[in-house]
Amino acid sequence: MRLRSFWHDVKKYKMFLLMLTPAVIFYLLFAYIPMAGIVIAFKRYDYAGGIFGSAWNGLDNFRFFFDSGNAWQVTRNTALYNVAFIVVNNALQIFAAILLFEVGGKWFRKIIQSSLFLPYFISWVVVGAIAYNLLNYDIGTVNAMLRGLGLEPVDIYNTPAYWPFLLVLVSAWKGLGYGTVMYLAAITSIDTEMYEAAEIDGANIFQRILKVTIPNLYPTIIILVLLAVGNIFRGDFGMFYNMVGNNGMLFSATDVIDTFVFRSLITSNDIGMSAAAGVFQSVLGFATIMAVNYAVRRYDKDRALILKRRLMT
Amino acid sequence: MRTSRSPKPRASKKTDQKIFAAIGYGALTIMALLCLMPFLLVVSSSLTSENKIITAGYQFIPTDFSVEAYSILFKYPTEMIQAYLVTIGVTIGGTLLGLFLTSMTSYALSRRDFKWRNGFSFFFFFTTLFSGGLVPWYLLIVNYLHMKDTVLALIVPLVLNVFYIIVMKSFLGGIPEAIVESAKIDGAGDFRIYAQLILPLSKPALATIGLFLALAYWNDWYNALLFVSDEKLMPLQYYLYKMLGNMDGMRKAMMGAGGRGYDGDPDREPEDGDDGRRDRPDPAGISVRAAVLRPGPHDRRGKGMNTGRPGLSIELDTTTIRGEDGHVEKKQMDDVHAFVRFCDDHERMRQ
Repeated sequence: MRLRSFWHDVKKYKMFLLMLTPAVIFYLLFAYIPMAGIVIAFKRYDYAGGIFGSAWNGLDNFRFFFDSGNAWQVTRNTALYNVAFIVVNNALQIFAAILLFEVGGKWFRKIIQSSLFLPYFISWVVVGAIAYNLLNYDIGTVNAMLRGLGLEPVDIYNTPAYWPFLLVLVSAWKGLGYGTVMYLAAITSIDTEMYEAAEIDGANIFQRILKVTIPNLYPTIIILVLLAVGNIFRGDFGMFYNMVGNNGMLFSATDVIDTFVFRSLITSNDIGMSAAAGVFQSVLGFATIMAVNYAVRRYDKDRALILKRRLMT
Repeated sequence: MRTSRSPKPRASKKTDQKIFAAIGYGALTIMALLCLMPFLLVVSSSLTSENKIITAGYQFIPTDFSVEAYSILFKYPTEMIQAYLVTIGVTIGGTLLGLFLTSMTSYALSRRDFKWRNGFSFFFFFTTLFSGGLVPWYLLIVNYLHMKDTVLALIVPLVLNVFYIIVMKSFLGGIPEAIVESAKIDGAGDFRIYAQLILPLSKPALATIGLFLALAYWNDWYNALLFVSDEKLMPLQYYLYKMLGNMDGMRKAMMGAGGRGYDGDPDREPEDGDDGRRDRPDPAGISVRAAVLRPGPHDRRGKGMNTGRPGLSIELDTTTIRGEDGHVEKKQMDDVHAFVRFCDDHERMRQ
């Protein structure tokens, strides 16, 4: 009886099911089958055997990953960089959005907004090239200026200590426009009556921003930050790879899980260990997202990503 | 100055507003300039002569104006044109296919009378929460789907994105159901409702998602890095990436990796034969006795190295290695790539 009603439904929703077929095949192939491919992390991969035919080797790959000393370094780097990105980027974006909302005429705003957005459209390859032009030891702009002032040039590409600041700066530079527009949208939707009330109460512009604008932004800030926290173990591969590349000198300060996995796979062809590192990242990421979702649900039921029954609403 | 978005100004500006305006204009202008300056640097250095760049570094304002870089670029443009064609083709094809699949999927998920829409939504959404990682995905595409060195490897991985599906779905959720109902009464099927009613109504959302898709395809180099070794299939960004890597290797080789600084004669044009050779003694470390820029067809696999400029390749003759104790060793380096790697290793050992 149930089966019959199931077939009845299939017939009834035939068109919807057909429309969903390409996407379902896509995600089965490129997301769910690779999930099953996690077994590689527990195998000694050989090309003849492939994913499912290779011999098991238990936790050897993981042991190798953790014993190599890389696990702690790349995990720490990934998490710390993401924390720094979240704090600095959001602070700057909120600052710029508030200023853009408060000052300037139509043209000024348009020009500033477009300028801030420009870096967003540039690929990381180009950003890497620009950074290299600015920073390299021999003919970079920064060092040319330092030499012009009679100062000692700095060898940035061989000094890990500069890189945390540099990468935070580059991330802020590239993300500023996009984030500013998001926050600007949130500010624009604040009820103007609140501002008028503050005005009548004699609030000056600084008080108005601190007491009206920022508190009204809290929901947006919290959601955006929590979403970013959920991805704290995912490194931005494009950024790290194009800024640093395979420069081993800098790895202590710049290697993140994603670049490590890529290098183990492509350069050293160590499939087992890179799969293990990937699984480690996925599991950590999943746990973080679940924790964050729990936090969001406690803060605001309607905004949780995964509710008990409904989804993405 | 104020527009209707901001609260109404009082008749006369108070000091706090003046202070704030000063801060605001100042900070925004500085931020905008910081965002624009790197682009100025690129444009300006592209218009500066090579020699000036070598002696004075990349500059914000071209002092020694030259279109040399562009003329070299357009002298042998085949590779670049090919890269442009690949990128344009992939961007147009991928964006159109992506828009079609995203909107169709989102439409089915947005219809409230579709009983299983939450189940399917979760099926898609779960892929953003957990993934198998890079390795199984890579092996699947290369070893099982055999997409390496095909145009599919550049299009397929980016064609669908759960985030876009969610955005599109919430947009479609805002279209009044009465429209769908009335079309149904008129006898239209679900696909026809999608194609003839919903698509035209969702132009704003399609434009937004289309922009993101096009940007992702245009800027994509990652899939090329993983899956493309055939030069005919290299997209623009990856071509650029390779070119930059080669230029860097060339520069390293020319300057010698053991020491720093450049003391070759910058006014001398690198030419075939001895004229372009630089000899730079170094108290300890590696010095390149001879790095020669040779015009001519580049030999990709042999001794030479692609400089990224069509018609110019670099070759090494002899490499001298000086130990800290003054001991000298000469080594023949056939492969420039091996040489650069060797220099890097040496450098690391010295640290």
